[in-house]
Amino acid sequence: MRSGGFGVGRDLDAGFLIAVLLLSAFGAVAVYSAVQTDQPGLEGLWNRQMLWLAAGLAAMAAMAAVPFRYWEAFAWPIYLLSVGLLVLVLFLPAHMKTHRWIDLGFFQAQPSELAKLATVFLLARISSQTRKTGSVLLRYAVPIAVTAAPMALVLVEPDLGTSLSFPAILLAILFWRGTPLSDMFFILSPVLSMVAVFSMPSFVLFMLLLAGSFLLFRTGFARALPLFLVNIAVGSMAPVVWGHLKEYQRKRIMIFLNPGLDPRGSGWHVLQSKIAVGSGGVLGKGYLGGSQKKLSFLPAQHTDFIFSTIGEELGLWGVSLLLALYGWLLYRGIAIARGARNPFASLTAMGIVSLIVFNTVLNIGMTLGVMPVTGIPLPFVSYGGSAAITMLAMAGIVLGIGLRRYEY
Amino acid sequence: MTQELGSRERSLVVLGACMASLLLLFLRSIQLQVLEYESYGGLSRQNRLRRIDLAAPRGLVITSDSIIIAESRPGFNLVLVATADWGGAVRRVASLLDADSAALQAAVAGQRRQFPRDPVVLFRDLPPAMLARIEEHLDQLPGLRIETNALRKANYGPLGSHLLGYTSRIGTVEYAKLKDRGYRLGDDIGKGSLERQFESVLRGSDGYEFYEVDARGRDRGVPEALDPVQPLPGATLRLSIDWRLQLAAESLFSDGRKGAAVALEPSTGRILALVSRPNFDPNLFAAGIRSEDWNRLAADPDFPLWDRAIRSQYPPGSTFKVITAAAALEEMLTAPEDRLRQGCPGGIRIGNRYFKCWKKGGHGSLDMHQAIVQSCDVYFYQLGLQLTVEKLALWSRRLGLGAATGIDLPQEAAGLVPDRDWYELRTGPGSWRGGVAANMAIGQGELLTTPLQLASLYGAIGNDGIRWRPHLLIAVENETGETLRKELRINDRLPLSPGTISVLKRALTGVVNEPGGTGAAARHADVEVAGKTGTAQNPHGDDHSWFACFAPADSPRIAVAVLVENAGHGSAVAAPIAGVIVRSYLARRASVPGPSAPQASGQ
Repeated sequence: MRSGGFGVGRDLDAGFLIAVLLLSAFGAVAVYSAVQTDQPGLEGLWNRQMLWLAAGLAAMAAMAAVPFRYWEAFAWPIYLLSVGLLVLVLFLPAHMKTHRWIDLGFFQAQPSELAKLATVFLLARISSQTRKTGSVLLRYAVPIAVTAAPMALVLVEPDLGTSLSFPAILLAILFWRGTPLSDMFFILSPVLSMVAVFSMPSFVLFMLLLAGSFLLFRTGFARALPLFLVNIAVGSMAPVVWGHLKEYQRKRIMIFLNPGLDPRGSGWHVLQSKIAVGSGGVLGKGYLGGSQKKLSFLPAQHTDFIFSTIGEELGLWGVSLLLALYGWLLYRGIAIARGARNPFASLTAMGIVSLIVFNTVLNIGMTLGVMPVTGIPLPFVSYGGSAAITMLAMAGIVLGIGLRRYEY
Repeated sequence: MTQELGSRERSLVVLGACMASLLLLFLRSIQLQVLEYESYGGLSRQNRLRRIDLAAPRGLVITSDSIIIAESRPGFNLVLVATADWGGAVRRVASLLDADSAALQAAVAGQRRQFPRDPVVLFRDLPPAMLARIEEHLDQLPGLRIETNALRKANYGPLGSHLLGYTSRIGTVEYAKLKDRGYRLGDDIGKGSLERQFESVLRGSDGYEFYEVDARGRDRGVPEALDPVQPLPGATLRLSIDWRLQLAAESLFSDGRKGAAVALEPSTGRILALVSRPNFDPNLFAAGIRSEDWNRLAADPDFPLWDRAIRSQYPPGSTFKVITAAAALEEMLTAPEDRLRQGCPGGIRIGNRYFKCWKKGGHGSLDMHQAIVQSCDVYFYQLGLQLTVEKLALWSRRLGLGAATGIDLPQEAAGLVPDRDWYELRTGPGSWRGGVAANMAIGQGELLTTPLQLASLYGAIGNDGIRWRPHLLIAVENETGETLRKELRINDRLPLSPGTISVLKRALTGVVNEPGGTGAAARHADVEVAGKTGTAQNPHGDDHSWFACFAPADSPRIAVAVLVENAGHGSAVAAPIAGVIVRSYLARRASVPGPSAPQASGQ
């Protein structure tokens, strides 16, 4: 058996590493252009981003060097620390009306970034240990609770987009450890009930579907009944809760789902973003030549809306290249997860892959006007220190798992 | 559990899901960049796309008798949208409309310094003749547009102005705070009373549409690829106000009297009429108030912009005697049938000062009922001395003075209930001893109330101690009549025993209906009115005249407080006004006992 440490050679997943480096380079190039606008004062951000990238690459190397058994051993302390920070941040003064950042003077840290990674570790640890136990409680209730705590804390910051990353991690890890599809469906069913209940026929239909699937999967009565009751309860509570929300809260949720309802806010951003991407055409307007970008129609074109700058200046071919890089990265990430012999390592790699794909799809989907507007950055590409360092550190963990794929 | 997937299948599922997501994003990019390239490319080229806002009409304000007292009307504004090279166009439009060109340019430059990208409203609410002249010459005015704006229209002008409040345009200082909430420079915003309280629901939300301009800044129409976003009109406010009662009450002040009248329904807390005079015309503010109008309103010594019904604070005068009486009964210092040690010879010596009764000849020996009916000061001086300032302050607070009633209007005054500490601090140690309590017991001195507080208190006494929070809002409704917000009914109970309340009710009925009572002017032929007169001593001029009442006395459907400034005795001026208000309301409502007044069948 190989020992830990840097076994450079055939055990390093060069494909994954190259994809990460190319994406980071792509991001550096894109951010350089995005900060060249008619509003002066942004240019200096590129130098800062280079600093973040350097720090991130160092973090990646460092993370790759740490044997994963340490992550497993310290999963609970890391998780509790991150939850503690999420609680702490709620009591710190608000920044732009939200409690997302801890100001470290030189750097604004987002505890939610750490919380995502900590949740991956802990879910991987719990899932690898309870894989074969028969208790429903251990297999499902504990992971759901572990996910719900940071999710709820991030939700009240408020940061709806980021809070949705937590269930994404949960679903990916549950699936990856071999949860039967029927159970995946049952876990998701209360959420589906909640959505279905907004029209009575669809709710009745869904209840029939649920009952049918109990028969199909031969679910025992002792499990089917409580699950069914939970669904009915969630289904009947949802309209009540909805009715009790304040008008502005309902409005905020509606706008989240459909930015067009907020013509002055997010709807306007989505439209400008679509114009930028669409006007790029096949060939793009040329690097540094984006007119929409230059007139700074988008307030976050170097951070959350970086993809619109890429689409405008580099056109469909640039978009294709970027999507292909992500595809390659995910392909290698999944291969590493599959190749890892240790269940914790394998589940951790899958959790990180799910975060990358979730953020990527949500971000690009938002830019293209097919997903809700959230403050989620584009992995490895968007400007931003917290995000760049965390994403590269996570990539380092995946690389480290690849290096130690034969370890148990 | 037979359907567990193997590791290979799981990898394929995850990989498939990832690739499918990326593929969908790719297809969406093709849709935008290849299939819809023409439309987006056109919009982006030379940045020819402009957005114009479609103003949302402001919500209606409707009274309980279905009168629309405020609505929205279109106004046309001339707006500068160009962000550069605007000097020529502004000069030309100034000469076209005979306006001061230098001042106009300075105004534009001033706003642009602070908000370089926002459109500037040059002229608001253009009259038709000017509008026509501009439209004729719009070709020579690149960068200028005529935009439709929604302006407030108060259908009854100054009547009910303190109830409704007014809207006014947002200035640059406010805009800096409000722009994140969707306001634009030059938008209207509710500035007082209901317009301010319910700004968020009355406002609606603006829509927008796009138009393209050619190289000279001229409108080329709305591109088909982009659907306009329709504005959402503001919601309708349904009020508890009885508009005919409001008009009747307003007319009683029409001879230049200053003061306020509040009428409410004791069994619900619904406000039926809310008058404050002098008043002002909210329409003056709608399109931005002209400076001469503003100066006239602001410099008026009678403060027409000040809402006397809920913001002015006066000594309650003898209307306060119900509180003194209630305190004495609850503290068991006297019984209703007891006569005090000293009768009323027309005055009483307290310390080294002589306190007069309003009636020079004196009232002789009275029980509590007669003391209230005849409003004998000497009787209450004695109760005040026994109660002391501390107890009077305590019971004033318990009965709702010194605290805002919580009406759904902004800036309600709380009144003032001075206690021992207050006097120690303001007028010196020990200053609360002796005569201060005697004076306070008849409602003179430092204690202050608003007309709304007195209406609420008298309504609660009439309603057997249950006090409903005064409110105007019955419902907020959207365009389709769906209720967005319902009436808020909250009550509490005055801390008085049923015995005390019935003593007060009988005495107040006597004030109006018994021989020798001070409130005879409010008497009603068919219905028993119960009330109390008051005269508030005013160190700055003539005394203020009070009357507070409810009717019918046994189960009241209306409570009224009237204050007329500098009008002398309550019995002479305020009582007849209150009487007319009561009669006007009951005459119309007697035959139709509505659902809001189930116990209205009378005697």
